[in-house]
Amino acid sequence: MSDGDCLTAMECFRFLDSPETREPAWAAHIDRCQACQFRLEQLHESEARIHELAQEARPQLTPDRTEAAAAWKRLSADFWPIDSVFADVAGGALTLGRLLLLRWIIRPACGTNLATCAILQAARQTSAAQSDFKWNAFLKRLAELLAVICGETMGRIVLECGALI
Amino acid sequence: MHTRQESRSNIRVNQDRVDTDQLEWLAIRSFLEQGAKCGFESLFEAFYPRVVRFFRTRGLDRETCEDLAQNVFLSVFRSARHVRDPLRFRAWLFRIVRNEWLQHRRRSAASMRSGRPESMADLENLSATGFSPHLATEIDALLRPLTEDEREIVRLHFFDGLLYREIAELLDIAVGTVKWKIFQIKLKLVESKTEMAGA
Repeated sequence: MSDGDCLTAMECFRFLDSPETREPAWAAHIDRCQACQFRLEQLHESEARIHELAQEARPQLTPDRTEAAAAWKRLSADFWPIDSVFADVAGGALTLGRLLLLRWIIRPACGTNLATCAILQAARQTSAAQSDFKWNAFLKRLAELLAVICGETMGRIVLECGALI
Repeated sequence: MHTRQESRSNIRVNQDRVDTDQLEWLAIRSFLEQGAKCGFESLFEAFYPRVVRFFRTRGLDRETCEDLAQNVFLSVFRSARHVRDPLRFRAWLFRIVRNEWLQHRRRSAASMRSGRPESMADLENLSATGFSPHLATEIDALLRPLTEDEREIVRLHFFDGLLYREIAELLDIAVGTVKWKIFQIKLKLVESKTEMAGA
């Protein structure tokens, strides 16, 4: 930068980004150049404006403690029982992933509690805690249970979706 | 340049951020040290609001945000044993969060093919979830001159409160690149404001 020229965008960036390695000539130039002072001030204002909007928006976007507590309750109810049953199963993580997908399918029609209970019941009846867990047998039992509780259509949906996942 | 009131407000914001960070830090340490269920609840308590905010900031409705957040925490629980360094935990967590969001976007790609600018779709969704329409309009107007990539960096840094280092790790770019991009964003916003004032 020659004396009298304004700072380039890169020089401006380096001036703001690393105060410890600033070229003394830049600071001296800014001291006497109104255009550069104005530009830096505008950059500060621009950043301050985003901060201000983000600060105002954050409380509206963030769930409060009650919502968080309810979410924890739902997660615990859904997850711990299923996780504890399938923790020792060979390929447990994979099975758990499939079960959670199944629960997603069942939940809108039957509700969260029923979805979890039906999965656990079907798992118990098909020896889920043993290493020889059979997905198809489990699926068949789950479909039978849901057909009785929620209707045959639900049973068929679970059977067919379960075979695909 | 700044008034005393602005300085006080900035100090308060910074203090809030420090307190939040300390809570998060304690939760991360406790989760990584105690593992499993003992530490998971404090981790959930510390991060659930931020994870949901991440999704809401991207215009998703309340129910979808909750479902996606739940998926995130299940993934965290299942794979947390792969994380050793507490300093890298937040970046790791937000990578899961962002992947979940990207997957969701891909799944609902059909509704995105309406031909409208994405920021407008976000805006309508934000208003629908109880977000102040006035504020949504202001945010939309501010971010309108930016590309989608630039808007994402603004969201990550200013709304999600991620550090430059964490954004770099999340987006697989250098920290210097993140800083430069944020600087470019500020320049772009200044130019846009000047253009609007001129018009």
